Amino acid sequence: MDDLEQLLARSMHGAATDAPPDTELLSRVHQRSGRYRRRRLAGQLAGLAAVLAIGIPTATVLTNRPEPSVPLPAAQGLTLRPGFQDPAFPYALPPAAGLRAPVATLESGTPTAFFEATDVRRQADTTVTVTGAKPSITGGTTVQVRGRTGWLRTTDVKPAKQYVLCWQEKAGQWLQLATDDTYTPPQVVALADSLTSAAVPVLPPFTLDWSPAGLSPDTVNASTMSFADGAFSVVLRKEYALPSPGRRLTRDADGVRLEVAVPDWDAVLDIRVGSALTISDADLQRFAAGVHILNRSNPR
Amino acid sequence: MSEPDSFDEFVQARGWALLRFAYVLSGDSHLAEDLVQEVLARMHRRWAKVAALHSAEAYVRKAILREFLSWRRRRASRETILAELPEPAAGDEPQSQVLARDQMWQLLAGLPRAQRAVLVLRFYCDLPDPEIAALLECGESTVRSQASRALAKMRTVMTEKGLVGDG
Repeated sequence: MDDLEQLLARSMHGAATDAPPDTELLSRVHQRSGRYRRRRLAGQLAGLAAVLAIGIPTATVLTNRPEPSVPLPAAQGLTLRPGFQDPAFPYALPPAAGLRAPVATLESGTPTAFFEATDVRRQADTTVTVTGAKPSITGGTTVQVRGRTGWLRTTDVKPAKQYVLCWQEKAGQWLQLATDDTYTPPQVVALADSLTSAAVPVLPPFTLDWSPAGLSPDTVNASTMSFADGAFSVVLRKEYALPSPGRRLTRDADGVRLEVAVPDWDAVLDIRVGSALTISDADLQRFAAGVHILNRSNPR
Repeated sequence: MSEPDSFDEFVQARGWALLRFAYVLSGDSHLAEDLVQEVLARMHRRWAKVAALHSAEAYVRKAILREFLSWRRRRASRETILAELPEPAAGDEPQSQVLARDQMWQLLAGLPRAQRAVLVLRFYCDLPDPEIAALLECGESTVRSQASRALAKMRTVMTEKGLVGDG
């Protein structure tokens, strides 16, 4: 180390003692974390409340769907087909400073894209949801959005007013945009106007070598992939005890269940097939062997 | 050293070390606080996963580093000019050394973010080049060239100011 390098090292170590104190660090981190959580929940709840509380039929509107869902007759034989095509959310906001790229999810058949604000002074968390039928929004004002008639409802809640804007994008497809009063009502409409066609992948927690043929995914999140309203599901759960050798197969009136310990993840892979479907033990084992857990997964 | 179990314990035990690291990295106490708070707030929700890692602190430091590089990208216009240094004081040695350190600190602030990060990781964290390369997700040759360029630039200015020799 020459003179300059020694001086540099000394300078850095000397300057480090001038770093701000940590006396309030923990409380400030908790405050910030809580703020993010509240904002996230507020954005998501506004979207979900409008979808669920007012009883919107959750039609299948995903792009890239493997196959249309079919009604399940009693004890329908289930076959596996190779691979799984990730579903995709069909719209996106244009990239903007202070707004993260969307995270698409699929919960109970409802696809949603969440755009997280990183610059909370200029942008707000925004959730866009696609449904197959008109949301029955009560109250609100009529607005023109994307050349169509839409409805903008304002809910006066703390810490921020929530806006929900919905409109019919095309036959059989309704869009709903939920955000907060970081934006003005005209800005909310402008945000909706800026939506473009896209294919935002719903990122699954696993890759699947095999998937159930003919069943559409209804939930894809950090722990779960389920199909046909949960008739077939694979869930990564937090670790619990299984009999040796860490694998249990049970069949009862509700269907069949295969649990496999995943020691690397301190988790258990829980695969359930409801009684409306039949699957052989061999196929179930083959399916389980083809589930590859990804880093983005999070056991529940 | 064993890692503290809970998030709160980790912040209480390692918070100031993280602040010092962020401060040396950014050269700005407000930015350092913001960097550390931002990274920890994001990790709060997923702490169980982070704590399960071999070294949670290394993971947090890497996140601070990446946050700094990202923030600096957006704030690049604030980088200062290298050659604007106070004149060295002619006087007793300790005073001169203090001034030299101050000038060094200013020179550091004027470096491009990537060069500054390399120097901090090498001379403050005492990391070898392969580890720096892994942290910055670049090649070792890039680390060496960034460090070499930064040191050459600093050496030129310091020599012009008569603060250190050629090394």
